Amino acid sequence: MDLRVLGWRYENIRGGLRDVSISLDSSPGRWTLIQMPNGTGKTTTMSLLRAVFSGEALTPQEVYDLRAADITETGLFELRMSVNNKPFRIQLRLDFKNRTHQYWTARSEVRSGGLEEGISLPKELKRLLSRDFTRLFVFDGELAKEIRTVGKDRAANAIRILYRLDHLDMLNIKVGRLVEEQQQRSAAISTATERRGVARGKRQYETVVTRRTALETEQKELQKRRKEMEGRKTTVAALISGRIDQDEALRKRKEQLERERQNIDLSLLEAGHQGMSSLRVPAKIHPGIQQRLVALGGKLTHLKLPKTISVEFFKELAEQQDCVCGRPVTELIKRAILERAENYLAEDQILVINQMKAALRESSADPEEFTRVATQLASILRQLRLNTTAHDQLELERVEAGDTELEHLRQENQQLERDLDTTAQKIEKLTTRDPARQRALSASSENNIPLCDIEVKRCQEKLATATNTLRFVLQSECVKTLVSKISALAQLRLTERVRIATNEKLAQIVPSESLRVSRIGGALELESRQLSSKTGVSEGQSLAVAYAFLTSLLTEAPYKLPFIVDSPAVSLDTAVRRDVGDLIPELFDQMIMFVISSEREGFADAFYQREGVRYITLWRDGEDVTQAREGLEYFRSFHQREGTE
Amino acid sequence: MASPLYPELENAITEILSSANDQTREFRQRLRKLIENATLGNFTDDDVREVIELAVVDEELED
Repeated sequence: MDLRVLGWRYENIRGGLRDVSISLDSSPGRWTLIQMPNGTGKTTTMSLLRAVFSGEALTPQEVYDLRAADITETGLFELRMSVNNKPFRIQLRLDFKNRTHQYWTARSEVRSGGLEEGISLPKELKRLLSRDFTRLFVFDGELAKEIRTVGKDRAANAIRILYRLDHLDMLNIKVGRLVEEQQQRSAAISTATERRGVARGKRQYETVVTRRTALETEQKELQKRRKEMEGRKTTVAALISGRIDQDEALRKRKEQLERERQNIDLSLLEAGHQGMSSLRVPAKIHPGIQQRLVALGGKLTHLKLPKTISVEFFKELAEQQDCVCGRPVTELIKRAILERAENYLAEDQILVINQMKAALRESSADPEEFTRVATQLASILRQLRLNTTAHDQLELERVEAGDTELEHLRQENQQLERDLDTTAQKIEKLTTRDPARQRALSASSENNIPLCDIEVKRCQEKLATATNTLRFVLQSECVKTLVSKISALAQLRLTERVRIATNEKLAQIVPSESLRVSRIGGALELESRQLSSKTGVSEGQSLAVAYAFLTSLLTEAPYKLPFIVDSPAVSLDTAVRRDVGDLIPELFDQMIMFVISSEREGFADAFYQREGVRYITLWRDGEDVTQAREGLEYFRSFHQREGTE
Repeated sequence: MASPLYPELENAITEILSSANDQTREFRQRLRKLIENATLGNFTDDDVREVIELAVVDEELED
C-alpha cells in the first residue's frame, strides 16, 4: 500500500495561516524542503497532519487554540493525498466559536465526488494510522526518547503493526470467537466439552445402550414363555374337553353350549361392527348432538359464512385499470392488492367449507341407533357370561363326580390364565408406545423399550455434540498455537533484521561513537563504550538512533509511507548532520522536511545538488499574514536574507 | 502468483509448519494460505472454520 502526500491547505489557522495552499503536484517529487521560520506554524502543521492522518479527536481547548485570531469563527485544514494512486481529500473543519471539529473525506470512489462525513480511507490503512503509529512517520521528536523508554513498547508495537503481525493476533481472536459460538450452539444439547465431561457422556451412552439390549432380551424371553404357555393352555383345554366327553350327557350339553357360543360370537361381531359404524356418524350417537349439528349448519347458512371473497377475485382486480370503487389501480395499489390477496381463501377452500355447511344442514340420521346397538351389545355380553358359566358348571359337575384329573387340569388352566395375564402385562409395559398406557404402567426408559430408544438417541446426540465440540476446541487450540508460534518467530526475525539495519545506519551516521542497539524488546536498548546508562545519550545521539531505527523499520515495510519531519537536523552536530543529510533522503520514496535557517549548513544545502527537490518558503508579510513561494532561488535567497538579519 | 509475504514471515510459516509433522499436508497448505490472507485482512469465518476442522488432534478421553 502506497501513501503519498499531494499537498495541504490552511484557512484561518494560527501562525498567520489564513489562506495558504501547499501543492506538491499530483506526482510529488521525492523530496520537499519547506522553510518555515519560527512562528509561522511549523509545529501546528505537524500536529494538524498527525490529526488528519489518524482522525484523532481534539479537545475543545485544542480546537480553540488553533484559531488565527480572536474574531475568527471557523477554520479549515485540508490534506490531499493518494493511496495506491487514488486521490483522497481529508478536511478538518474547525468551529472556533463552539470549539468543535469534524472530519470530512472526498474520494474518487464516491460517484458524486462530494464530501462525506468522517475519515473514509481504505480499511487497511485506517487500521494502520493510529495516533501512535502516525507519530512514526509524521516524526515527533518526543518519539526519539520514547522508543528508548522501557515499558512504552513503541518499538516492538511499531514492528508488529507495520509488518501486519497484529493481523495474526486478530486471526487468533477470530478462532476464539468461533469456538465460543460453537460452544454456545452445543450448550443447548450438552455442556460437556472437556475430555472428562465427554468421557462421562460416553459412559452414560454405553449404559443406556446396554440397558436397551437387556430390555430386548427380556421381551424375547417373555414372548417365548407366552408362546409356551399358550401352547400348553390349548393342550389343557383339549384334555379338559376329553374328560367331559367321557360322560355322554355332559358331552351333549357341552356341544349344545359350544353351538350357542358360536352364535353368540357371531352376534357379538356383528353388533360390534354396527356400534363402530354408528360412532362414526355423530348424528346417530345422540339426539342432542344431531340437533346441535343441524343448528350449526343453519347458522352458517343464515350468516352466509364463509363471508369472504376469494383470493382469485383480488388477483383479477389487481389486473384491472380501475377498482370496483371507480378509482384507478396504480402500480402501488396493485402491489398492495396482490400482497393482501394472500389473506383470503382460495376458491377450492371456500368450496370445501360450503360442502361442510351443506352436510351439517342435512345431518339426518336415526339418533337412537347407537343407543339401540349399545343395548344389544350388553345383552349379547350377558349371554356370553351365562354360556361361560354353564360351560364351567359342566366341568364342576364332572369334578364333583370324582374326576380328580380334571380337577388338576382345571387348576393348571387357571394358573396358566393368571400367568398369561401377568406376562401380557409385562410385555405391554416393555413395548407400549401409547403415552397414556406408559403413564398408567409407570413405564420409564428403565423398563420400556420405546422410551429407552428415545434415551439412547438423546445420549447419542449429546455425546456426538460434546465430542464434536471437544474436537473443535482442540483443533482451534492447535491452530492458535501454530499461529502464535509463527507470529512470535516472525517478530523475532524482523526485530533482529531491523536491529542489524539500525546498527548499520548508526555506524554510518555516528561512526566515531560506537553507538549500537543491543536489543529491541519493548523499547530500543543501547550499548556504547561511551555510555554508562541511557541517560548518558545526548539529544543528537537520540535523534540519530531514532532516524536509524525508523528508516530501517519503514523502508522495507509492506506499506510505503511518506516521512515527514520537523527540524530534522537542528540538534545534530554539523558532522553528524551531513551524514544524516546524505543517508536519510535515499531511504524514503517521499520526504517532507520542515527546516529553519540554522539547518542550512550541512543539511539543506546537501540537497541543492540533487534533482527532483521541491523548495517552498513560507514567511509572514508586513500584515502578519503567512505567504508561500516556491523555488530554490527564493528558498536560498530567503535563507540568505534571514541568515543576514 | 507470488506470495504477498515478506521473507521473515514466509520463513517463520515454513519453519513452524514443517515441525507440525503430525498435521496433514492439506492442513498445512490451507493454514499457510489463511495466514497470507489474514495479513491482508482478507478472510471469512468459513475460511477459518474450514482450516480448524482440518487439524488433526488427539481426542483420547480421560476417565
